[in-house]
Amino acid sequence: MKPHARVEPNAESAEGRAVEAAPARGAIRMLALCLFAAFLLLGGRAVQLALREDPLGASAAAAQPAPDIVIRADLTDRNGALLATDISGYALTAQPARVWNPRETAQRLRTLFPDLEEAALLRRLTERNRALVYLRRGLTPPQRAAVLDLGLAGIGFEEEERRVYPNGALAGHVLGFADRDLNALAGVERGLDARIRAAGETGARVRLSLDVRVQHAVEQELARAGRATRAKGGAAVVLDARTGETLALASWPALDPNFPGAASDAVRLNRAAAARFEMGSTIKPFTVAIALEERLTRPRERFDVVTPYAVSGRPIRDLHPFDAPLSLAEVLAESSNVGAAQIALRIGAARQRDYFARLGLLRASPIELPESAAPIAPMRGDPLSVAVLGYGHGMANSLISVAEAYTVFANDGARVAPTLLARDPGDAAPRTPVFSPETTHVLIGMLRGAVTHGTGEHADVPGLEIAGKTGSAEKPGAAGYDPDRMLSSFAAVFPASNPRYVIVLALDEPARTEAAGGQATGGATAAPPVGRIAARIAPLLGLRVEPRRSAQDAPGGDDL
Amino acid sequence: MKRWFPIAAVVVILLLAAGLYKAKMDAVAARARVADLRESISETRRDVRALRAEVAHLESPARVEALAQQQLGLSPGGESLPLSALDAALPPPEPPE
Repeated sequence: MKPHARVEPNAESAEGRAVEAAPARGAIRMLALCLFAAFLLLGGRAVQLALREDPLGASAAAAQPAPDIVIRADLTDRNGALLATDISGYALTAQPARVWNPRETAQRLRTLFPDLEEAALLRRLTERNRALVYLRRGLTPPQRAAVLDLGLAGIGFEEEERRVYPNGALAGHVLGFADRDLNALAGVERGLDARIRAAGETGARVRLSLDVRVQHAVEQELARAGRATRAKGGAAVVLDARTGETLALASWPALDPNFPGAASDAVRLNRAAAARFEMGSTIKPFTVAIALEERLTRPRERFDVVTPYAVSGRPIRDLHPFDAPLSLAEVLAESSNVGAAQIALRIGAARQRDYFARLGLLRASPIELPESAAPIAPMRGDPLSVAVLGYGHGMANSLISVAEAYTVFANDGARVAPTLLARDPGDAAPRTPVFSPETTHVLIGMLRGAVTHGTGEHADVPGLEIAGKTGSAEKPGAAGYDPDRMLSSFAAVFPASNPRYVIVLALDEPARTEAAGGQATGGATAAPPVGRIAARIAPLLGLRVEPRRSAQDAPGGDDL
Repeated sequence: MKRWFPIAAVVVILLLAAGLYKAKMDAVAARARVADLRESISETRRDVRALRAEVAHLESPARVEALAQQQLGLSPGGESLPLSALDAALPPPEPPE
């Protein structure tokens, strides 16, 4: 009885616990079920990943490689030839506290780098208060290997990027240069700095409008003419006048952008963009064009250039006296200052200023060069200033600015601003109308006549129909204009039957050498290299040379 | 049966833990390999840039013109060389393998 009496309450208790535990077991089962489901899901996904060949899309990622990011993007010419790139170099460093024998270290380093001064090297190697000193920058990988072979204690390297220009001095003034920290200092490098850096971040390149083949031909002929005439300097520009693309822009003496520090200020000067010159007679075609456009003259009108002529009491003279009146075409072909001054006075100050502004001669050329200089153009408006401006005096322009103005002769009278960026096909250049197509057509004929029968005969190349104008401007000195110091130039447009290209070349203070027939004029010194440049670059530009075509076939030839 | 279930579960958990550890170690190794490959790609790109600069230098018009003058007697604006003479002046092409 007793045990029974003891068991009963226990049985009741167990039964009670079982009743209480029933919901907990259910919960545990649920949890186990959930965990099992979770494991099942994970297991299934693991099997799925294991069976797939490319579970994380790695090959898709590999198919699209990350861009080659650099600080400054590569610069190429219009055909993809490399002009500037970043390459890795090394800075030679030292930790003075770890250098064992500074004198011996300095001597051994000088066996590899004799240009390092031993005293300066020794001073840096003994600066014990500094953790790290720079001994030399811009080491190439072989130079680094040579230093490593010396086994010098405390000598090390820091990797750094540096800018190199693989073509050396080719287009040096256009490209400009960057310092050792890749900060742009001059040229396109500075003019397009933001674009070059942005392109570098995406691994893209910046395609310039230059053509290295044309650039080389222009630089070579410019240097040849400069040396032959013993000129102080020179510059030349070749434009595709339809698009405004600058195919070549050269300044002589040439600058190697790899070593800008080694060049003097005179060499670093970009004479095509930063220097300003009174261009002289290369401005006359604009005077004639304005007069024709405004119907102030006719092609067949004759001008008295025989009688002595003065404006405001100041005589206007021609380089050579004439013994008969000249037609409008002859005023250009023979480059008469007296004739141009008479025409300019008919135009008047207001119209002259307006047209010169539309030709872009009264502001800096918008080409992407920070050196592009604003003109010195007082435009006083008095009769003497207007008369001398008619033949290119009293206003100083950059060569690129004059080349830009000459684009009107290749665009039916519209000006196209020059650019150093290659245009994509179909990307039309903005045009500023200046003259009518009829006026331009007549002027092209006259400019062709100036080459076939005038002062520009040395620029003529059979088959290329070069039209152009010489310029022989005396440079101002302390005692007025100096006949012994000239800016001799030639501005050409070709081919005359379908004008497209503009070449402007100037020589600064050429001497009267035997090679130039004892003369320093534009016709004797600047016209021949322009002819040679045109002959050399014509095949590169895809121009068909037609030797049988004569001057009379050129447009406007009847007007001569 | 009920006794084996927890043991089996523990074994499975241990196996999963071991698998997870291996996967983690594999990921670490893969990450290191990716870093190596990235460095290698970067180095190769630097080499490519240097080589492209060298090619541009070797192909520069001034150098090509000097070589044409020296090797073939050609100068800008001069007479062009007949193809037969060009063939004679240039080294023969490599025979196909």
